[in-house]
Amino acid sequence: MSSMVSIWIDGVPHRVVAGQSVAAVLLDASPVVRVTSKGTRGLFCGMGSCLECRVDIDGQSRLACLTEAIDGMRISTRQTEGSR
Amino acid sequence: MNETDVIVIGAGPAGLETARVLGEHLAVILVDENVRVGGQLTRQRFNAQPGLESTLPASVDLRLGWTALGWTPQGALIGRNADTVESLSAPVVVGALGAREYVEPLPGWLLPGAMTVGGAQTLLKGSGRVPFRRVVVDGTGPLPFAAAAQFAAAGVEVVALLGGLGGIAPLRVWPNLVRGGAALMQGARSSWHLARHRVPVHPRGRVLRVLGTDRVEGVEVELKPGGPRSELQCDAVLFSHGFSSANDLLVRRGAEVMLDVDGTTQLIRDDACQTTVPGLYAAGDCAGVLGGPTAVLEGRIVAEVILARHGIATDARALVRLRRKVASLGAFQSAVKQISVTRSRSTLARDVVVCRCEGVTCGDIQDAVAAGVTSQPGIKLWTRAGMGPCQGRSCDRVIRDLARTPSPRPALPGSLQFPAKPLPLSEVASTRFTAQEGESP
Repeated sequence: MSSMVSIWIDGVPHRVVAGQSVAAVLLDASPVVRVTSKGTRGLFCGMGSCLECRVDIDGQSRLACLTEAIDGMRISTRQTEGSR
Repeated sequence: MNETDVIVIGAGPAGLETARVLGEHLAVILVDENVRVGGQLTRQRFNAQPGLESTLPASVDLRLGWTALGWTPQGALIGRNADTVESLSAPVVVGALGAREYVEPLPGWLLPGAMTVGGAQTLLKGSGRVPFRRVVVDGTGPLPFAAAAQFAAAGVEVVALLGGLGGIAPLRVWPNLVRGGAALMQGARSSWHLARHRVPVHPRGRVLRVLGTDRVEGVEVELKPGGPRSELQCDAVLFSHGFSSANDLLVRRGAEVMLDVDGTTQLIRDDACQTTVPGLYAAGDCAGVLGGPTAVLEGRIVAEVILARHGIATDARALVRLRRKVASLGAFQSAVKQISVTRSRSTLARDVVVCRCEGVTCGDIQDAVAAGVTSQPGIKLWTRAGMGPCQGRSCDRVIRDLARTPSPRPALPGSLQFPAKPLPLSEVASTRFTAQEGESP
């Protein structure tokens, strides 16, 4: 039985299997990983090249595809004003 | 503090091999922006234990989650992890940055659910499953062929594979194909999985348009060139239309490149894998996309060359054998390329977005070219194409293709600006910048 971690996505708590990328965890809920005033984006390159999976993690802008989902993480797919 | 002899950028197949060989004799720093080593081709589960890291000598200074950002004027490498921005200095640097996938723009390709084949494979390798039920795979070559088989074996419904390996190989290509050995076996296994899961394969088909309002709901396809169009329902479409070497960081350092016929840039190296910048070497796919086995061999060649430069005895005959094996694998790769159906670049519609970051369309670029702005840097300044966060990594090939003028001089390659990846000002202000005396970005 895999160990589980608790994370928050856009204010909603989730229990997910440990040892996954934030991208994988987001995609389990929805194909949209990023919401801006210009529209929505999903995962594209999955390897840190296209930079379209920038999400807010605990106040920092991080790439969902390169970041491991760790217990207690607060993830927001919505970008604050001033960013694209 | 010990001085570093070699910095290796990238811990994929090439970089790991270089660090493994050098680490026995020299002070090596190995950096990679991923949280695990392995790169794309030997990607591990996030929680794999013991992991490929354990194959490195204990003396190697391994820094994971470390993103390279650029260079100081003195040639030190600037980069960051979560806490610190710093510069690393060594007389020898090996770039093993790999390659990235190329996707040709088409209508609807921005929709959530449309992604690269590699991106979907990363999900499968990283967490053991793919978060889609029905996928269409579109692309020619061994990667989409093998990936479609992997997804089918993992329980995903592969609605169709458009492209794959193309038709039967011409007879002249077989002698080189046979040298492929293990790769041929992989091809046979993939064929078996595709047949077993009854995946429809259309070697000359392609996706014309991605359908959906807020996410991928289906695709419009032609199953053969100029044939009747039909629609397939799916919740993800996976594209693989080629590869580009990730050499931008090295070009930023001053390494010269040449333009290849397919619009990609290729690092100019001598037969010791050294770039035109003395002390800067390149190994693996970032110096020409030839795949994993070649990357490992090049990683070893670079390590042996550097050891020889340090006066550490190496086996000269082994080096010759390595070089011969690289040449043989190169021949296999080009044979595979010959049997993959080559797609002619379709004419892009004016309203198709070319620069994903900035939303610049094909029409915007064509208007710029018609107005006399024909160079790639000029188009970047005029339209903002290539000015977004990815700095042209997703779109440089298409912009270069649209920028071509009738004159014989090729359009200039785009150039990377510092920082290579986004660096919020707040993080620079609040973190320590450690640099050697006299240096600045």
